[in-house]
Amino acid sequence: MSVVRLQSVVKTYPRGKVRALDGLTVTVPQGAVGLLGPNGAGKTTLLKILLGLIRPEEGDVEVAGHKPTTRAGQLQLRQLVGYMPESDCLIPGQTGVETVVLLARLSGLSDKDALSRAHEVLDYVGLEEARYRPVEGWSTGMKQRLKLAQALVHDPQLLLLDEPTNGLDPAGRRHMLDLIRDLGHGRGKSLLVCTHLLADVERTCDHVIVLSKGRVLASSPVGALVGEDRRSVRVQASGDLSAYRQALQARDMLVDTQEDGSLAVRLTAEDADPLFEVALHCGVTIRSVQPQRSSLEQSFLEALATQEAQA
Amino acid sequence: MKAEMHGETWRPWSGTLDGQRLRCGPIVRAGLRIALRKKLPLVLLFLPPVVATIIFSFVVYTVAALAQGMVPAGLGAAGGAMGQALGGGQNSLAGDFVQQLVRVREMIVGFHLSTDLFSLLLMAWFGAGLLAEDRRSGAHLLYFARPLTRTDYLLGKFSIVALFGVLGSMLPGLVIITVAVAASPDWSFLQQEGSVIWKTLLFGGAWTIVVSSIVLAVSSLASRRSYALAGVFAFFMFSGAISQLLARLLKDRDWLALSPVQCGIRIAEALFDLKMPVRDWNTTIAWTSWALMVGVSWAIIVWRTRRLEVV
Repeated sequence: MSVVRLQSVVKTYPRGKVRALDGLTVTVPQGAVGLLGPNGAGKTTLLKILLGLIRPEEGDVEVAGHKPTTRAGQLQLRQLVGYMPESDCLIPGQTGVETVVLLARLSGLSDKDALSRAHEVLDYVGLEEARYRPVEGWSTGMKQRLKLAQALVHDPQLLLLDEPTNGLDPAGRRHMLDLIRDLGHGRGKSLLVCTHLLADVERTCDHVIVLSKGRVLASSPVGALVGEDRRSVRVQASGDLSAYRQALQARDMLVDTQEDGSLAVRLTAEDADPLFEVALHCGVTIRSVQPQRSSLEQSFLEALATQEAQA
Repeated sequence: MKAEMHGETWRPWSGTLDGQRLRCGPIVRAGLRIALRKKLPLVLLFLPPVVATIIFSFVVYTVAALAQGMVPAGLGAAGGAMGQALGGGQNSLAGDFVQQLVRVREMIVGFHLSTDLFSLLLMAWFGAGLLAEDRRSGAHLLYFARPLTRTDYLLGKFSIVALFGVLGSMLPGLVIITVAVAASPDWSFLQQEGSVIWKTLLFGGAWTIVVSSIVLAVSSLASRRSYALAGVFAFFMFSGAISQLLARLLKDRDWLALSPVQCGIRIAEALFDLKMPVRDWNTTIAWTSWALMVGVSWAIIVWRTRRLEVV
């Protein structure tokens, strides 16, 4: 079941004559979904269209059963969607808890519920006594958690997270990713995590959508993209490895020596027999052959390379 | 602060969100809370109108009391001296009842015009940052991701400025009128000059709307509060100076309509039926000028807020 559906969506920025979304057609399934793409791919434009903050020139958009292109649809879907903006944003002069209470009230919670709910989500994201201090003096990590708390306060079905780990130190990043993973897997929220950090998506999401130049390059479960690649193997051997390496390269295989002395070999086919034939010929003893996990980065780069080749 | 996730505090929200409520209320409350947090500006800006109100109340009470041929209790010789200073002997004041009430009305108008300048300071100080700071701090990203219409947002911001206008302009006027009514014999002030109440409300309301609109328009154009504050004062000072200059150079007093303050003085004189021929110029032009200022201000506010909403 999908939470977001876009059909042939076109968005152009007239000033820069940039076609941010170029006939984008995509379906976002329930669960944690990563939205990947290089800078200028159209990720943030897509999020703003989903919130109804900007209107596409063409195409059909549906978010949680509502159309953000109509005024009534915008107001209804914003009750069902939580948005964590990318840029630094706060309400000046307010404390953390006041900020979350105000935004909860604007989402439609009563005074009493807004206050209790604000404290719950601030506890959840780990903002303890700092919530009573004005937000201007907060660290980047605390502000990021506050942005997540305000997005969660009305318990939305769908969370749109724009670069949630932006500007965080390693500990803060790990904490934020733990929260996102918990929301997507422990709390049953649908998430659309917009980022250019592939490792974040790999760690938190079940599904990934790759955007480039306003189009979808790939949309598939993360597992399918980071699964075993039978043509890439890691070989541990003993003997004259230099000769073995040259012999493999002579057979059109790509070989790279790793720091631990093993060889990363890209086979020409899903058949490891040539490794053993060459080893026998070179007098090398193979101790192990293991398939390498292809990383999301590799899939991402391959998708981009394919697009450029087609262009 | 160590970042920790407290998953045990999370519970799904089981209530219903109110989709129909007027959402400007929470914005007004939050804005007032922020404004009232800093005590020094409050004391400095409210002290002059409070002191002026007390002094004028005393003077109006004395004049009204003298009109019924008695010196207020406790004043003794000082009250008598004040009565002389305010316009002749006690007996002549008591003899010309109506004229004395007219003098009270004139004093109220004079008081109005002086407190309106204080209310301008109040509205500028507390209103200059309302839109500028939202833009600078990115708060608009949080507001407009909620089911909040631009009308709600602007109504909330306008109400904050207008409230300070009412406190600085209308409220002191109503206090003085109450004193005059209470001090005049047999409610005579209410019977003879009762219209001054609705005229006070009309003039105070119009002045508040004009100044609030100008302050918000300048705030929407500025990138930070200090610039907006400087812009508001520059607008009022330059418009005053230019209008005076043009009126003298072109020997046409209608040019005074370029200044909102001069328009206010002219409208007050006409509305409260004062005889001041030196300022005698077309009242319709003054009202039209005020209406144009409000119209242009709101056109700017709506245009700039649309750009805030479409982030």
